Amino acid sequence: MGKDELRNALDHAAGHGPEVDFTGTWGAGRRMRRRRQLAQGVGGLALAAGLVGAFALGGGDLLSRDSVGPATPTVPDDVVATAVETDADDTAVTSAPPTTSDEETSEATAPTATDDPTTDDPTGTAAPAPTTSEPTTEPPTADPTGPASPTSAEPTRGPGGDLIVLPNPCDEPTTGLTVMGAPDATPATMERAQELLDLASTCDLDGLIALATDQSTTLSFGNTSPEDAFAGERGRERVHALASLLVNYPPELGGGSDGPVLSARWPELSEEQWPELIELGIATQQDLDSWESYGGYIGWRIYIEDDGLWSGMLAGD
Amino acid sequence: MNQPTQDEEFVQFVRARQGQLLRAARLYCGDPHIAEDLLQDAFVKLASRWESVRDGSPDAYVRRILYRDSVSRWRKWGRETPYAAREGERDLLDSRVTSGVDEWVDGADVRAALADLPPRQRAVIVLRYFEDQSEAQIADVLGIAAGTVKSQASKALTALRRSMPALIDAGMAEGGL
Repeated sequence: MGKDELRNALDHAAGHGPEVDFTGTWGAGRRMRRRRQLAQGVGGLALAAGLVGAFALGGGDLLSRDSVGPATPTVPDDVVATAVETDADDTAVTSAPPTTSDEETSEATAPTATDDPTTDDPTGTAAPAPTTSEPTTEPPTADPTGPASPTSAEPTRGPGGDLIVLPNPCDEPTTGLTVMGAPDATPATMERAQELLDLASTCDLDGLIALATDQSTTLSFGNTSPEDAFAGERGRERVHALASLLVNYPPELGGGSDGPVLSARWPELSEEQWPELIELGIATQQDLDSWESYGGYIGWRIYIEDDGLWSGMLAGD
Repeated sequence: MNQPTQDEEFVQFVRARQGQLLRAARLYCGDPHIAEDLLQDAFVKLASRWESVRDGSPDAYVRRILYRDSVSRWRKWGRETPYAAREGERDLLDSRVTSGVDEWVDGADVRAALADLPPRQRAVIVLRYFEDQSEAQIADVLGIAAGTVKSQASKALTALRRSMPALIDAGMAEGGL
């Protein structure tokens, strides 16, 4: 018994060929293409209008930090002890969250993209690219009991020079990061991703909760509310993962399971890249082992639809 | 006019490939009706990107979509019990396959064994032993390294040997692809 028997068994188990004709899918595909092009056109116009408006109002050089200004982070009360952690690399490792799976098995994906997409904040796309300066090794000088300052932190690059290792934003908020995109992603998708990165990298929990509430974002396989999802240590881990994944990895496109709606899912990640997530502080070796036994990545995933709807952020299976 | 030409090309491609791809989709998901949905979605996505895919490998593109969407569905709904009408029972949901019901029932064990595999291992087995894809082609479709294809195949064959010892001998399970 061997390969030929397995081939025969599979051939048998696959049943007969179809009596269904799929050639009629051409029309639906072209309609999807037109919708995508329309979404890209609308998003591009909105972006252009935003840029023109910013210049007209005296924004000037949008790539200047001064013109953007630091966002005001919202730091939860329970960050007092962790705010004094000083070594960025150590923080990245020791704060690695266990991305444990939600055990509940209800809807895993978000509502469809028919909800009203809120894409009225394209300013995030004007954020400057991350700098390539040396890693920040100095501990925060601010009073550890007060809110962390978003202006002092710089992203820490890993040994390979490509990975941007962020400290937990709720300890050290970071501004000026640019989301990693993909050529085929729609402008609306990228604007939403940039908005999420801006909120996460400054630990703007109120902003994230408001956005998730507005978008009916699915944040767990159960019924976790945005307030619960971003509360406590688990919320800090989620914020850290959100920022780290958006800034480091491109999205996978077209993987939507809700009919013909194309969507973007961060991160697009090969198995060889999984250890990077440990370096980023958003996964543990235990997580990697569980993904290996599962047969695929089931760590944090961020879903944004083509029209900019933030449909989900989930971990587990 | 380009569109009629593209339309014809697409129709020719679909006609030529729909049979084999639908059968592969059945092995991915274990259910003939879900398989039709998966393949229809994959062809719709292919049509929406036909200009950029037609000169490359539309076949590989559809396989990639099928795999990803079947995994997405698996993640969303969990392990689904592979569909199998009882012997002699008319498939009320699909009168078109009544002549093949008995044969479909006969293959239920194999589909159940496949359903017990994690999605990627299942895809490796289907791509290698049903679609006769090379390691490199499988790696391309699944977006993984060739070495990972081998390791996943080895694990899959070991698991299949446990559930179907009569079908897979120990040497094959140890030897991998």
